[in-house]
Amino acid sequence: MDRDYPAFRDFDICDVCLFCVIIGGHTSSGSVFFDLVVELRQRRPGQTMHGILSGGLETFLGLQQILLTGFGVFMGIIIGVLPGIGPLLGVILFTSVVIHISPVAGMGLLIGVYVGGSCGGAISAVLLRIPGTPIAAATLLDGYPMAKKGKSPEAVGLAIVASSMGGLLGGVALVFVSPLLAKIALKFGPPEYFALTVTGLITIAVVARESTVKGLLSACFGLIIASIGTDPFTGYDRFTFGYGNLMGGIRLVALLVGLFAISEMFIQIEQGGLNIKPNIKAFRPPLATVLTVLRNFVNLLRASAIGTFIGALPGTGGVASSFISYAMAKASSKEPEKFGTGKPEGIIASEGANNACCGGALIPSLALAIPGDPITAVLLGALMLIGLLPGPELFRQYPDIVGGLFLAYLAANVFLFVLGLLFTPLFVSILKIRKNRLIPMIILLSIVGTFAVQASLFDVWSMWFFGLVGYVMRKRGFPLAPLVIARVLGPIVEPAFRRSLILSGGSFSIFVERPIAFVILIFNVILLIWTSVPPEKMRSARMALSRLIRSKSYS
Amino acid sequence: MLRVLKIPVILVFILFLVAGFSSVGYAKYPTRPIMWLCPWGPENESVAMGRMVAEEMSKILGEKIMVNAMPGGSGAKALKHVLSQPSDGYLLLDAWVAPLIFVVLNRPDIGYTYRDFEPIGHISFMPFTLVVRKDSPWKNLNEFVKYARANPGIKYNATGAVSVPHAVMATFLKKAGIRARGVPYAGLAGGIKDFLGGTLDLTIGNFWVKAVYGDQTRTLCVFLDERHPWFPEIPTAKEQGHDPGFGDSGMGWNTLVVKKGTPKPIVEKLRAAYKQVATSEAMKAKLKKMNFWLVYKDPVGCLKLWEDSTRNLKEGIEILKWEKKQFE
Repeated sequence: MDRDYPAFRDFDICDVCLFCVIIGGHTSSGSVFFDLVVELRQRRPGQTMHGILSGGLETFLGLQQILLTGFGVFMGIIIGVLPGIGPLLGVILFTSVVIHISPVAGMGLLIGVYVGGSCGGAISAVLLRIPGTPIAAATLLDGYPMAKKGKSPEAVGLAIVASSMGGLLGGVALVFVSPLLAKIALKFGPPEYFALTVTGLITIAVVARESTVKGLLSACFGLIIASIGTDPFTGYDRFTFGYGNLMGGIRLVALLVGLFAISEMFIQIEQGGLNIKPNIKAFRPPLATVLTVLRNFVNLLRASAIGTFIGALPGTGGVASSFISYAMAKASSKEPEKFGTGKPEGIIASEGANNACCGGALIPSLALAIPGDPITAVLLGALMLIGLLPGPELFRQYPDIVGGLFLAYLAANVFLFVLGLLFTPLFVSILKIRKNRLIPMIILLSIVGTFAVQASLFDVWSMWFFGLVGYVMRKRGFPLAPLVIARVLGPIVEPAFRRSLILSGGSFSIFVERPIAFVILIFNVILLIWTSVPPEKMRSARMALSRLIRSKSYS
Repeated sequence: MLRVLKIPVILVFILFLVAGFSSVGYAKYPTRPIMWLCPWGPENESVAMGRMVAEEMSKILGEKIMVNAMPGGSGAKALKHVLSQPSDGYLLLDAWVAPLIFVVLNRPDIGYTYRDFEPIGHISFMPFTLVVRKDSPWKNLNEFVKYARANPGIKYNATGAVSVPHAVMATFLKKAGIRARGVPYAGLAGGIKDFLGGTLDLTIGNFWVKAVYGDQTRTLCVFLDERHPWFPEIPTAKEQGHDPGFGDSGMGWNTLVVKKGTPKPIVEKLRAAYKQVATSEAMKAKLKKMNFWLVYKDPVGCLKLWEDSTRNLKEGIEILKWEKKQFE
């Protein structure tokens, strides 16, 4: 498709996607809009999306590439389901294989593991109340209650469909607007990161709205845990008590597996009934969940936009995006108090966001050679091992390989949809295993999975310790999700705040002078107001507002 | 029935005991897989580099070498871990200058020094460069120095509060008469994003940065005594009159070590195997593709480097303290 002027058709699609992302991402900045329009008008031939995609079709449409991508997705789902082991470890293990096969096939395998692994964690979260990966912790909030009501196939199906569709929408952003989104990501400096992670922390108040004090206590505990280790700014240790093993802090995986998996095992043993053979009826793949997701399309679109945008910011990641998306869904729902009892919107919001995050993380990785998260850092390393240097050079020199990578990502989400739904009956049949066999299996997998991350026995001891902590917390009614949110966001929010103050020389005005940070902080204030107003008052306020608007529109 | 089984069970038990103690023979080292520990996270390039070297060494030694990552405390966690394990030769450590020398200088209470380790062989050097964005107005080092002297408060990526690149950068700035604001990030890679985005004005870099971000950046100089053979077009800071004065110590480097007290025969075997791998042209070329400058040094040379670095980097710590006071 050779044109020496940009076609108007290209503008349309790009603009629509762009607006969706920007509105969903809740940012605004006049100069950013101007930059983007200028960039669109300067699009050169060969770099049009049609050019890249058609070149990509050549490199991707081959048996080896397609099969390996599908295999990667399948392995990724399994790796995601297993507690402790996550897509990061899976991608690292498969990297050594990648060198010996063609570039797009190898990267297709890794991208497949990445995409599958980002969804697999939800399956164990829904069925066993154990998030297989940290990003599935938000899916647990509504996924497990839904499964408890006897709707486990629907819950798993919702997770898979929302993941794959959210990922596909993220892929659309990846294909059409990645250089532009990457530019926006570059404009996010420490003050913006601080503002955005404060949004993530406020979601704790939204998520734990029904038991706010206990939720906040749980979150503070998480923040303290996050500060254990060597302070990157001064080089001194905090809360390590001279104990060398704590210098690296408490590993997130050990914390998650202990808090959720081990505590759940304690509670299951306590509940008894270990010999009962559960009565699970056979069923077909839950295709009806596709209709449910489509009925909640606005929710999915918003989740995908949030996920893609936060994924495109290097260093943030799936946990923040899934909880922010969940909180947004709860905030804009007509029945927020039903969240946590098994609402499909909760699963759609969480899973749509954390899979769109994968596509989002690929944006700065491919466009700027800045990894969006540790997994894309390994993907970039694999690219360099093959001999391809990521960044603008890659777009210029090998547009067909870039197209192949885009198509691999889109295909991975399609494989996730197909394979995930096909294998849902197999996953749900885990529930048929008697507890006296299932519990030891899970404990064994948890120990191995936690140890495998860094071959560290200390991580395993941490896991047991937090298993006890999680058990006590659950017995006393303390929600676990805020602890995870705080533990994940703490190491981002504190350095961002300190860096902002170093940059401004100690003055807080930096948060007002930078427009994007200021807008996000205003939004945080609005969100805080929403959470502190009780639901009934909020509903009556909303009804009064709609009556006012209706009366004004008639006059 | 059980009484009949007693004797075979006791025999099997004795067999297990004998098998368990049989790995004491040094001449048969190694008899089980060896671990190679890296003090950075699993996505760090040094892990990939370690895998390449370890693969070749495995072929010579006959046992698999598994590369593992153990981040924490600027690398100190991995070093302390090695010192807590037995010195049986089954735990190799990729000791970088940061945890081995620099952290010890900054925190004498850390609990170890380089004298607790036995060098197997030197691995690589990582020279530092001064990098600015392509769209910045300074075309060479002197233009930059002139501007920075006149406008104090220029912001740069201070990789970690106390780290070797930061020390080199701070020393260069002080000797050039520049007062700049160092903003700590998680290593070199952590600050690249803010550097490219405009929040920072310059950053310390290395050859990897030049390779990956070459078209968005301009490398003003390299902190070496002589121009590097791979990039003869990059001038050195020394020839432009701004030598920080660290010499060989003003670079990132790593040495392969084991815990002191490992039996001599095992150490010699490891040294021979590593020397064979590290001096091969094929390995040099492989690592060059990953922007790692493989430079073999024998154990005597390693110890000398450690002593020189300890001496030279001491000044760096003082300058970091000075820099901190500048904007208080």
